[in-house]
Amino acid sequence: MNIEEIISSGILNDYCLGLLTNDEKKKIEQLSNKHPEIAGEISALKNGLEKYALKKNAERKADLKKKIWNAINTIDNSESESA
Amino acid sequence: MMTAAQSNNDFFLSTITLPKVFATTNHEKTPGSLLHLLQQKSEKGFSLLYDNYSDALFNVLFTVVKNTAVAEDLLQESFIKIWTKIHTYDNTKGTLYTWMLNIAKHTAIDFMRVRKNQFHNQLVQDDSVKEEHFKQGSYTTNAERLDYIAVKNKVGELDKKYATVLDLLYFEGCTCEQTATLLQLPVGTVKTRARKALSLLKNGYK
Repeated sequence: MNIEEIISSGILNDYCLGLLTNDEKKKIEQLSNKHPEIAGEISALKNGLEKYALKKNAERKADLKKKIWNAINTIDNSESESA
Repeated sequence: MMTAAQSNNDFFLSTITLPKVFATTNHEKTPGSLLHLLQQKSEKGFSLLYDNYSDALFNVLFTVVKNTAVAEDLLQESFIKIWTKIHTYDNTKGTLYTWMLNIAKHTAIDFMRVRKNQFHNQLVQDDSVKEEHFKQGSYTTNAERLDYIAVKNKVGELDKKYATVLDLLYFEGCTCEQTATLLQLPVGTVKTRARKALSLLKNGYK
């Protein structure tokens, strides 16, 4: 496979998602050390994934804040009703 | 590159550091003031509490239970305890921060003690849940598990069919086979969607 084919095959995506076996991983890392185009593609894929992870984390955190505040209010209300 | 397990660890992308409220000399942001707001049961107090302490408390919980969904549930439990027991906090015996960390720690330890056997019994009865990964979760059925993921899937413009696959593989640490089973899709489709998801993210969701 030439470099173009490797990039379009999707194996670098699998690499970034941690779906490869150790042997496959080693091969990709060797290729990445030899070919800057492959290293660049891996870095771009990781970058996209990490941005997604950051955004997702922020949303989860905000969602959880709302959820916990609602739970606290439910408790406060039931306490004031029973009081 | 983050592995799935690391991404769980990094869920709140933080380390246990002293919250900013302690790093300021601004009197409005001193712990005493937070305490006052909490004792008054004000929403501002909760907001300040969550923004400053949720990462640290989450990390304590996650360290013990090693599962994001469970740690989130226990974070809620911890905050409720903090909220309802704030009148028992004695600032002559330690900082508010330490008091809260202890609440989280005990919440996690109690959970592990009480629920471990309970989970085990449930899972032994549920043939569909055999994988080690699922044993750690608080989902009792796969349907609940998928509901949970669907709710969490609001990020960006990434199409849901790609986001769901990506989240299971990357954030929930499922294998391609587990993901395929959960989504009732062929393994090949899961792999194709995962690759597509990453390519879309690389290009900024275009």
